[in-house]
Amino acid sequence: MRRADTMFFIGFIVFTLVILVFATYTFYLSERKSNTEIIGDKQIKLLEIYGEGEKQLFFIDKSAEYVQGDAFLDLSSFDTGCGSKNNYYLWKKGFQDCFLTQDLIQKQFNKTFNSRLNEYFINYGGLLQDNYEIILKDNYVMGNAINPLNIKAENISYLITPNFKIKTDYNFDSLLDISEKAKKYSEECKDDLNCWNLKAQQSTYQWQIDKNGKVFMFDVNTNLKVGFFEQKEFIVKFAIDFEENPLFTS
Amino acid sequence: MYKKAINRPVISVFIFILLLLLIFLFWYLQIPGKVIHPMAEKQTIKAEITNDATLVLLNYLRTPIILDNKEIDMTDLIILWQNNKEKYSNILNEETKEIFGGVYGYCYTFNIYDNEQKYNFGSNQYMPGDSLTQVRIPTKEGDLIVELNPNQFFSRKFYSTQKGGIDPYKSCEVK
Repeated sequence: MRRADTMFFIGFIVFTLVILVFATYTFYLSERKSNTEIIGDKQIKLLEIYGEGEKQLFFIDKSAEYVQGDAFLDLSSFDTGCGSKNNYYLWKKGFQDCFLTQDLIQKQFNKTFNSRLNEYFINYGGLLQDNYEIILKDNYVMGNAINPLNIKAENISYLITPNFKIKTDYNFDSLLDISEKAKKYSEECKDDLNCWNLKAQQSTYQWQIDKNGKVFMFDVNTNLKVGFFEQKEFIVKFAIDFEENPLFTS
Repeated sequence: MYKKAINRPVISVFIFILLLLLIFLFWYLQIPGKVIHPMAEKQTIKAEITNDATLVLLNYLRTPIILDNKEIDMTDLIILWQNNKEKYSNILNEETKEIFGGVYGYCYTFNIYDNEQKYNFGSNQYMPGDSLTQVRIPTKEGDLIVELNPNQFFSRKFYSTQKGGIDPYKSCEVK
């Protein structure tokens, strides 16, 4: 019996040690596997993503700053719905009026601004095209992002709404003013060039008027200079076709 | 009887030694630096430096300066320099030296990549190493990338003297 007790005791001890060694080995292996999941790893990734977000916001801010002048200059000549003649867009075609309105200009500015931004964004991975609702108000251009930026790394997703606001030296007032004057003069002068020239002399803007049949072409210098690196004059170009007989219009 | 009396202490000693070995094994695995710590420490320091360098570089790019009585920022100056290197090289060099010199002292590398050509500002003693941060500047002419690498400053400050290297405060001279 004593021998049996001893054997049992030794067996029990050996069995316990085997379990302990196995547990230790398993613990060791699990620790080795967790090397990649180090303390603070997620926080480091977050810092890196935050840094990447800041870089993208910087790129967007500077892009918006650089394109705003060109986007505004694009408003000097655009299709208002009456087509074009002699490389000038018509603001009036016979009985059809296509003079500028606040909404029309705003819509066009939104289009040109996004188009200009796209030129910069196309080479920067992750920045969305046509992603802004642009509003020009009180000499500020505000860009409200339609979709947020999504910066991903592993299983972290960082969402930012990259809105921007830029101070400008211009607004839509001069453009609307010229459109209103053009509408008023067209009603008063119709296709009388002398009358137009007289009206132009009284204006604060510099009007250059050319005539080709019943089509009057205008280059109106607003005295505004726009642009970030290179300042360009903002000259509004449009035409009015006084031909009211549709048989004579081309 | 006599045999059995000897066996018990022998077994006890054997078990005691095994337990000691087991305790030693546990202790060994817990030694700092054997399993977990080296990577954690290294990555933490690198992340701190990277993040710091990104913020420093962005702040540099947003730093306002007066040029021809007009307030612009360093980003604008870099774009002007891109279009006319001869005219703006000196002022860009001076402003860069003043801004980064205040942050990193002497040793840093600041590069501008214009159409894949590298222009170096900052320390003239370039030490190859990881570029810690890069920022892209929007231009009409194509990609313009600025790169800040204060790594050589840190590596020299902390390690070079131990390895018999050059004293960073004396060796790096900004152009």
